[in-house]
Amino acid sequence: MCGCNTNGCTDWRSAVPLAQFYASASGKQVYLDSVQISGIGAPGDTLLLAAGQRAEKVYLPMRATTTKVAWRFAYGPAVADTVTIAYTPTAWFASEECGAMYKYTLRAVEHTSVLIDSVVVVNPEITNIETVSLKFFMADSLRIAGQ
Amino acid sequence: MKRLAGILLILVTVVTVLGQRRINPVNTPGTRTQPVKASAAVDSLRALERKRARSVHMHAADGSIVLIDTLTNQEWVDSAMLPKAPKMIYPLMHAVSAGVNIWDPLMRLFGTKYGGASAFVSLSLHNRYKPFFEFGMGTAKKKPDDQPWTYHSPLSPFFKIGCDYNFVYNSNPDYQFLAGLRYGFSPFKYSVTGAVLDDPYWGETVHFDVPDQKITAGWLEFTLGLRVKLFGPISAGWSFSYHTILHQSDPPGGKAWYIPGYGTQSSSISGALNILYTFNLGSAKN
Repeated sequence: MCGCNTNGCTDWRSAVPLAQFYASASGKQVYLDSVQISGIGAPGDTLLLAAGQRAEKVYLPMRATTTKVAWRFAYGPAVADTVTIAYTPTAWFASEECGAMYKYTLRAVEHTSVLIDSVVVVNPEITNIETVSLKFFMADSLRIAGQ
Repeated sequence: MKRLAGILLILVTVVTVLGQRRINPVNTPGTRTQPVKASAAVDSLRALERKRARSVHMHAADGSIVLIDTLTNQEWVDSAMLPKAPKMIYPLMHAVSAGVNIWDPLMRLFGTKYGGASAFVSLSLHNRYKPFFEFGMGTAKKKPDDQPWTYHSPLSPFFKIGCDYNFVYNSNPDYQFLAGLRYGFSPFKYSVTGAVLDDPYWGETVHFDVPDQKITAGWLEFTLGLRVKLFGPISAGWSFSYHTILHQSDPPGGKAWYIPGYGTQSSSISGALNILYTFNLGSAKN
């Protein structure tokens, strides 16, 4: 991650939404260590988070060429949730230091509910400023560290 | 007879005593006798009046009035007769100055990628208050060395209106020490061309532009400067200003990097170098 200034430009030179995870029952922030996250349609099914990798937050990259993106949350070989976000990409000049990129305005979030109870959009305007945009509330049956 | 006289005497005494008025002394501060003590100011004024009365007036060669005390045979100055110094010695409509600001063209020579030029007019009231109006044009074009995109802002106008204050207003107007306040305004637009988004996760490379973004911005400037005469009616002025944006449009493509007349968004300090021509409208009072 390279920082162009205090606004926090990313390696991808793009605005990326930041997601954090919470236990649905207690509302406390938790770490994921048994969930595999990947973008549906990403070349080679590249993982954003591998199973066994401990993470309290995850960046979920958007696509500038479309208005909808989907991610797969896999809990096992045949158990997974799908999260789909609809958004509007806009060509945007961040600053002299960070340059031009796309920003995304979230319009709708849909998800399956195997182990995701709810998804809250905290900040619908996704820019290159690092701030939590999405909160995932996970079911109690998911083995979650730090609960 | 003696007895009758005695009775008569007693009667007269009683009648006399009964007829006397009783006087109760009133002992209040207002009725106490107080010594009269004249204040020092009153004494001084009386002495001055006596001195005036015994003095004679004479006219000196330069036309001024000379007072001579006939008692001491010495000259003295009656301050009451002196003309009072005017608060401001220069007339209301003192002068008009017109000039150009050559700071931006000078900075261009040092490699800045933005700026323009401007001209202004300033009215001198009592050589003290100087209303000010400036009109200029500014433009920007910049391509960072490590980035593929180019920032464009076409030639756009800006306006400034305000007033300067000359701290040395009763001195020679050829030299001035000024502080000022100005409101600036500019309607302009910008665009970005040739931007590239390289997305390694999704395996995409996107070439895009940020289309024309129309913006209006207003700001406040506090200035401090000097003005000195070069020769004849030509003078030069230097000033530094601290400025802050008061209002600015927020278009979908993002805020501008450069604002004509203001400078870059992130800058809070700027300068000016002026060459002026002054038309005198009035002279100092004697």
